[in-house]
Amino acid sequence: MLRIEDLRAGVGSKEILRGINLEVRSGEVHAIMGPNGSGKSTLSHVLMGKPGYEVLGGSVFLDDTDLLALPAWKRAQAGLFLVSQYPIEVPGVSLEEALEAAFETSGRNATGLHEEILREAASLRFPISLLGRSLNVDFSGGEKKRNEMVQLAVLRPKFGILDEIDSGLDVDALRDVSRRVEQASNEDQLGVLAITHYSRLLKELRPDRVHVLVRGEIAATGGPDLAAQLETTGYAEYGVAEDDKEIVGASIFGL
Amino acid sequence: MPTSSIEEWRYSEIDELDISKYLISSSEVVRDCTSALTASVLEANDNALVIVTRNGVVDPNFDPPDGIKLGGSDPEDISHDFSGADLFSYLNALLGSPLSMSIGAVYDQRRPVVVVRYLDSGNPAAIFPNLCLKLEEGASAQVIEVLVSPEDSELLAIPVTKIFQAQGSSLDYLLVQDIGSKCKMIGHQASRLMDNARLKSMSIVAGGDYARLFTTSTIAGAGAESRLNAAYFGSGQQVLDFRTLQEHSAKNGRSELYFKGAAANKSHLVYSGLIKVDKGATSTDAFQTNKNLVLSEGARADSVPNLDIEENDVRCSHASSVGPIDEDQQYYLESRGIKPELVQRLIVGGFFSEIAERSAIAGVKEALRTLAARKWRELQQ
Repeated sequence: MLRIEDLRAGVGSKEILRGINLEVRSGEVHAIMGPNGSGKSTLSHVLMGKPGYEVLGGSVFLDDTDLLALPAWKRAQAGLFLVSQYPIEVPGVSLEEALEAAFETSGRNATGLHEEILREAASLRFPISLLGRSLNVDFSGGEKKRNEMVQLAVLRPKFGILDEIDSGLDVDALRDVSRRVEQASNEDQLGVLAITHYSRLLKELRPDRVHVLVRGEIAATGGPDLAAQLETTGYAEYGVAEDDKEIVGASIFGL
Repeated sequence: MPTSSIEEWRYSEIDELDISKYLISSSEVVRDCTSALTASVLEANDNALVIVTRNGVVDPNFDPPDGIKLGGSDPEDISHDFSGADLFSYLNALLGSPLSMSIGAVYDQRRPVVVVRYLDSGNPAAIFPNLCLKLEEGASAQVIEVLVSPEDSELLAIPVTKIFQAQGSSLDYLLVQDIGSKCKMIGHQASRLMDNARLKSMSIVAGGDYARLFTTSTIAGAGAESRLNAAYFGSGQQVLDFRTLQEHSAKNGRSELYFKGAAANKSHLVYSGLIKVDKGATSTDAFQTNKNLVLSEGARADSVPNLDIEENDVRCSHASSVGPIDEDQQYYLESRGIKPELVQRLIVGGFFSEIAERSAIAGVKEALRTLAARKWRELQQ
C-alpha cells in the first residue's frame, strides 16, 4: 500500500503540493486528474525523489518503508517505479544493460533476463531491433512509453506511477500499455497511480478511484464516474479557467 | 622549439618538454609488451596480417602477401602535400625508419592489416615510428596501428602516419595507443583523399604522460569522404592533447569529425580543431563535434572548435561540450533502482560505446569497454 499523508512540497520557496492525502492499496488503480499547473508532475517527482524538489512536510510510506528518507534508487529498490513523462536519452546504454545493473544492485539473479526482456518486448509490441540500442535515443513517443513499460514489466515493482503516460501515445499504444498495467495489477498486485490531464487514458485504463488535483490539493475524490463528469464540466467547478475545460473537451473529440 | 604562446601549442605541455634529455637510439633490445586494451583488438582480429616493428624497424623476416608492397621510403606520390607538418614531423622524416606500404585492389580486404609497434628503451630515448600507407585505386582495406611500450621505459614517441587514398579507395583505419605512463607522444596522422575515396578512422588513446595527436585530413578529390573519430580517457596527471584539421580543397566532399574524451583524477584534455574550406570546394559538408566528460573535480577539459570558410555553397557546423555526467541521465537510471556508482559507470561506458559504432573494425567496442573499465578503476582509487 502507498500511503501519502499531508504531503507538502515545492521548488525553492514556492509551495506546490499543499497537503496531499492519499491511500492506494496493492492491486488498485487510482487516477489523479488535474489541470495544468495543479502539481501533477511535481507529485510524481516528489514521490520518486527527483533532486531539486523540496519536501516541506508530511510522509509517504510504501508498505512499511519511509520513502521520503531514501534517495531515488533506494525508493526504486523498495518497489516504486516511475513511468516518466519524458524518458531521458542515455547514449550507449541499452535497455538490457540498465536492467542488468538494476538486478545487480538488488542482488537479483539475472539468469533468463534476456529472454524475459524479449518476451515482454513482444507482448508490448516494442521493436526487438531497438533492444540493443541506446535507451530512448531516436525512439518515437510511443516507443519510449512501450520501453518504459518493458522495464516496469521486467522489474516487477510493487507500485507504479504513470506520469502523463498518454502524452505522445497513439490509440494502439495506449491500449497495449493499459493492458499490461492491468495485467500487472491483477497478477502481481501492482498498485498504480496514473497521473493525467485527460480522461482518454481512463477509457483504456479503468481506475478504481479518481482524484482531482487542483492547486496542490485533492479537491475531489470519486469513482470512475468522476472522470466522466470532468469530460463534460472540465475543471471549471474547481475554479479553474475556461481554457482548461476546452482542453479536456478537445481530448474527447480530437483524439 | 615551439612554445605554448603560439595558438597550435596553447594548453599543451610543450614548455615542459626537455628534448635534450632523449637520446636518439633504436639499437637496443626491444621488449614485446601487451595490455588488455591492445590485446582485445589483436584477439578480435586474429586472422589479420601482422607486421611487427620494434622502435620503428620492421621485422626483417616479414614476407608481404599478394596485393601488398612494402618499401623502405616514401613512395613518391605520397610524400608531398600533406597538411600540418611541424618541427616534429620533420624530425620524424629525418630520423625515423620509414615503413611504406602500398595496398592494391587485389588485396583480400577481409584480412585486416595490423602494424604492431613495440617501443622500448633502457634510457630516455626519442623514437620516430613512421608509416606511409597508400591505397591504390579501387583498393579496400582495414588497417590497424597499435602503439605500445612497457610501463618502465621513458620515451619521447614521435609517430607519423601518412595515408594517401587514390581514387575510389576505401579504408577503415584504427589507432590504438597504449604507451607507458613515463612516455610522451607527439604524433601526427595525416590523410589525403582523392576522388570518391572513403576513410573511416578511429583513434583510441589511453596512455602516456603527455600525448598529443595532430589529425589532418584533406579532401583533395571530388566526392571524397573522411570520417574522423577519436575516443580517449585521461586519468592521473595525464594531458591528452588533440588538434585536428579538416581541409576541403575539392568539391562535393564530406568530412565528419567526432572526438570524445573523458577526464578523471587530475587529467587534462585539450581539443582544438579547424575546418578549412578552400575557394572552389563547393557543395562541401563538414562537421566537427567534440564532447568531453569531466569526472573529477581536479580534472579539466578545454575545447576550441574553429571554422575557416572561403566558399559560400557549403554546410559546416561545429559543436563542443564540456561537463560532468548529465544529471537527468543520472536520475533516470537511478529511478530504475540502479545504485549511483553503477549508474555513473554505465553512463561513462555508454559515452564510449556509442562512438564504437562508428568503426567497422572488429574489437573496437570491446577495446573501448576495456578502456572505460580500466580508467574507472583508477578513478575509484
